[in-house]
Amino acid sequence: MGDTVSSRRLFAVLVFVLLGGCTSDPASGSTVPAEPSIVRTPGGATITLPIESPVEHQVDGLREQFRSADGAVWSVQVLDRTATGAGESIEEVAIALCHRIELGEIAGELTHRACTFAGQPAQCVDGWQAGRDGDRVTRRGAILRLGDDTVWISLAAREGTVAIDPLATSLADETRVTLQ
Amino acid sequence: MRAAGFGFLVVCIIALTGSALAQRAQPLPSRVGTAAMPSAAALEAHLAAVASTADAARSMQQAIDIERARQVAPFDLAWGTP
Repeated sequence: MGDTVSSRRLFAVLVFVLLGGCTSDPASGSTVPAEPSIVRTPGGATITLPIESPVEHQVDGLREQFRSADGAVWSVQVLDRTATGAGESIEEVAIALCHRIELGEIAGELTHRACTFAGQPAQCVDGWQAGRDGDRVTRRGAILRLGDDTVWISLAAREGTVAIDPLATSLADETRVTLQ
Repeated sequence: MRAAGFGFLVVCIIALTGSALAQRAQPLPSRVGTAAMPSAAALEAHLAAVASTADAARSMQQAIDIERARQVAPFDLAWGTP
């Protein structure tokens, strides 16, 4: 009798583990197995994010995101030469991005400033915004131009859950960019 | 004597008729003022309609400004959030 109950529990645990590994967020594109955090842009640049062993990697067109075990999300969004705003300077793009929040598209406050990111001239964009569930999300990152592509590299975490400043420093200093 | 009494009566009738006609020709100022002034409720409704139109215009302008900014920075703000 005891063996039967134990077997059922073991089976239930196995089913739970197997099903848990297959879940994904339907609103966030397809989920693919974790892989090294390297992103390639259409223009041929390679971005290597300083995140080891991401637990999840999602790709949706020209955007990718990696989730680390602590819950932080590292993302890259690329505007290629065909995108609207492709001809704008990174400062104009950063101003417009912050303006969207300021105008109330979603709740939050983002600011931008000229900076150096991964050895490239960039516009650092920092602040907070409402997340998918309406919770407050801290966001750090930068917009930079890589060849013909405009790229927003960002790190985000629910406020108060992750010490984001050391991660943001790591993102700015240890992200590697290789231009073709 | 009778003729004098008749004359006095005629004069009195003419005077009373003239006075009545003069009053009808000049309406009271207070009547005119009351007719031209809208009621407080009507004034409130009008002001509410003006405010509503202004709000709608502001919202529309805000949507246009957001769309314009989105054209320059067409990133997905939800992407990359937990």
